[in-house]
Amino acid sequence: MTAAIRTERLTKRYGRHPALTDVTVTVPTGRVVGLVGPNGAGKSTLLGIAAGLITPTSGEIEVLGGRPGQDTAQLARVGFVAQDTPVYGGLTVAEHLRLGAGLNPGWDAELARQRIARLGLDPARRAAKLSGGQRAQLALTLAAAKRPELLLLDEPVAALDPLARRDFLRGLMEFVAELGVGVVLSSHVLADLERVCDHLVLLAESRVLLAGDTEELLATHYRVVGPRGCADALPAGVDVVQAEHTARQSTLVVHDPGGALLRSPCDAEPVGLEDMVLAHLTRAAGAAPAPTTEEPLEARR
Amino acid sequence: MIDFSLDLRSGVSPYLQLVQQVRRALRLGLLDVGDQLPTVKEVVAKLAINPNTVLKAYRELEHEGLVQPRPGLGTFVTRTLVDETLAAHEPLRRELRAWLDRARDAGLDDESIEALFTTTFRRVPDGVTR
Amino acid sequence: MIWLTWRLFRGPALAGTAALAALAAYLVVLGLRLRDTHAEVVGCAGCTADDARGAMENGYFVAVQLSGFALVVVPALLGAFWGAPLVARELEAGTHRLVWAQSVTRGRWLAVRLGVVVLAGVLATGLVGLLLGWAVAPYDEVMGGRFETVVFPSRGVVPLGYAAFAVALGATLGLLARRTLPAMALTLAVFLGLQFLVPTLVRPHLRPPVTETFAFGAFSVGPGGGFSAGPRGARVEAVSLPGAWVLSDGAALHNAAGEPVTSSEVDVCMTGEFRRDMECIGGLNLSYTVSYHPAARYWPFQWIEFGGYLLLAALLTALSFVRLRRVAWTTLLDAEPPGSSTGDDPGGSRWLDQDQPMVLQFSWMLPRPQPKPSTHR
Repeated sequence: MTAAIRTERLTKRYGRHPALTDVTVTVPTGRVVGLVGPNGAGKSTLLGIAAGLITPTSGEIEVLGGRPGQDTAQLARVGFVAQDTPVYGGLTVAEHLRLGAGLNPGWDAELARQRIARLGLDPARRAAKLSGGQRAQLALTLAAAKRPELLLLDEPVAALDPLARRDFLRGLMEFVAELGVGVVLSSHVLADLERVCDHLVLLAESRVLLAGDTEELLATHYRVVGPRGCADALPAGVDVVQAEHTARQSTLVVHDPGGALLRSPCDAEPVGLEDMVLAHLTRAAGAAPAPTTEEPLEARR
Repeated sequence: MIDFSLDLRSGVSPYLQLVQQVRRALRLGLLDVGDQLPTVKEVVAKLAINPNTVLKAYRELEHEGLVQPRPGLGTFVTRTLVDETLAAHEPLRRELRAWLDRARDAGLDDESIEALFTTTFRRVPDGVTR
Repeated sequence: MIWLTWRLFRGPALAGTAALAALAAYLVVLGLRLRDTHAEVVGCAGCTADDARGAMENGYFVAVQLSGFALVVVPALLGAFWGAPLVARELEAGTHRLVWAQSVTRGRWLAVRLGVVVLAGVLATGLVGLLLGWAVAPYDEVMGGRFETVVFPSRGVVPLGYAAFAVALGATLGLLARRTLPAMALTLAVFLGLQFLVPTLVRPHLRPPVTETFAFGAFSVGPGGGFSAGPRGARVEAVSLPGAWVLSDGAALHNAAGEPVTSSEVDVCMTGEFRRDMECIGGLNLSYTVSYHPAARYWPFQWIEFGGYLLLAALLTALSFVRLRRVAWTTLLDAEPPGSSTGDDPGGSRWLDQDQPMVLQFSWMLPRPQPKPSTHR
């Protein structure tokens, strides 16, 4: 099956600033993929290249088996919602739908009309007068009603309040349920990801840290709490992502794809998505080694 | 019709929560044989979760023989859990009481018992035999 | 694509049409008045050519000059107000990330938008040019001077070339500068700069000028010119060659042997009455040498200049298509320092400064996503 996005050593530099460096990743189809990373990690760049809006500096990329942005047919297969969901302020909602109908061969006017009606958007309202959440919903409708095979969304909810955010994700998931479209959604807000994404790609500082099914990643990451010596006693194949030590105790976040940890004496418990992601991002940011703290009580005794 | 909810802080994966909620409803008699589960679209509209999650939960329930999808109509309950689990409860409770007695005799306090149970429980994923 | 182009162009189109309509009304009034005067002073018994010239010049010189000037300014304004915002506005507002994500390629998008606006610009200029031509025809008939600085660029086909060039220039500068106001200013500057340079540096050399020696006669001195005799010799100022473009600034008189004539030689003729003096000097068998472009070259020059501007327009268009591929992702990334936040502050610098003195009459149509604080709908 063709992957939704397949890249090989994809690199993009703006002048001397690297936005993406040697990114090699395969994003499966039919999933909701979360592209996670801090600001400036390269998420927008990766999505922009996949949408055919940016040309890479070097490396290869294939979207649904074709080159991004090469012709109308390829563009019709990929929907894109840019960061801060741009719309034409002077055009009304209905005119935006007309824009979509005119510029997209596969436009589903009925779907768009139904969605706009359900959202309670006034078709005669000028887009400049919409709230942020409504604008995001309009942009999503424009991208989805052309019935693409893949939807790319660049931090669509970053600027929205929690309610608007939930509404947007709800609308997005409804499109997924209805159209069977694959989604790649970038975000630096982790809270929404677990309910929505079944595949994760972690990006930090222009590189890929981690990629895989959400469930598998969560199943192979553990928090290990144990006596100080436990860190040294870990079996081979276990990658320590983050480690914090006190005088007596070590707390580690580890990645154990091979399941070696189950047989070790250290106490391992599952770790949540947020903590797992944060552990990887912290490591990538080159955080200083975890400080050792003396327990004050110990010292006083 | 069952009403789903989601608690992301519980540490339980979303699809498993759905499965558990259906099972609990069946156990409590809130769902009966022939009742229809909410459609994927309805669950998605309510919870704003990935439709695949819902599909996965329903497939799991089907795999356990609890529900049956009817193409074009929906997913319907085929079996309740009331009898089954009740039957298994008693012997399990007896074993548990005996185990608890042994643990207390060995000197474990409440917290140690709970920690021992929780860590072992988590280490053995549902359905996997060691 | 056509619908979208028109919808986005609607505002500037209507505003421009309103402005041009005002100019058109003025031209109609001017034309009618010129025709009235023309009927009075031409072809009537006892009317002389000089009287006709005088009447035309006194009454309408300024009006006709201004009208011609206006017609040259029209393409400049169209280039700035129709051409420059074409791409720059999209880039500034970020809407290119919306429209290029639809199923239309960048090339087709630019081709349709540019094509429509260039066509509109040429059409508008052409119509106003036709109207101007009709209005000042009586004046031109009496006064001549087709090659004059303000006359040549405002008659014939060259205004169409200017229009195509100006709009293409505006669009290309908008694409390169990525900001509307600088692009507008630059378009005006470049266009007007060319309008100064071309008549002085290029137009006189479109073909090698003809150098010819004429025998001096009473007809030799042109209107508004004169004859001067001084220590340096005798000169004709403003040589008269009807319909031709005289490049020399005046010509020195010389005798049959080719020597310059001194003032003493012509003094005998100077009585103070201009006409008789000229006839007298005419009898002295003197000649003068002039460098000029014959009248017949008017239309070739028109077409050459028109073609030249059209070629420039084509080159600019090609340049914009090439650069289109390399349009930077967004002005956001260019404005923010690397690695900084791009997702947290919707109300900050990324939006157009709402206080910018954008051309107010267009602001209501310009696509501009307004960042509203996120409120529950």
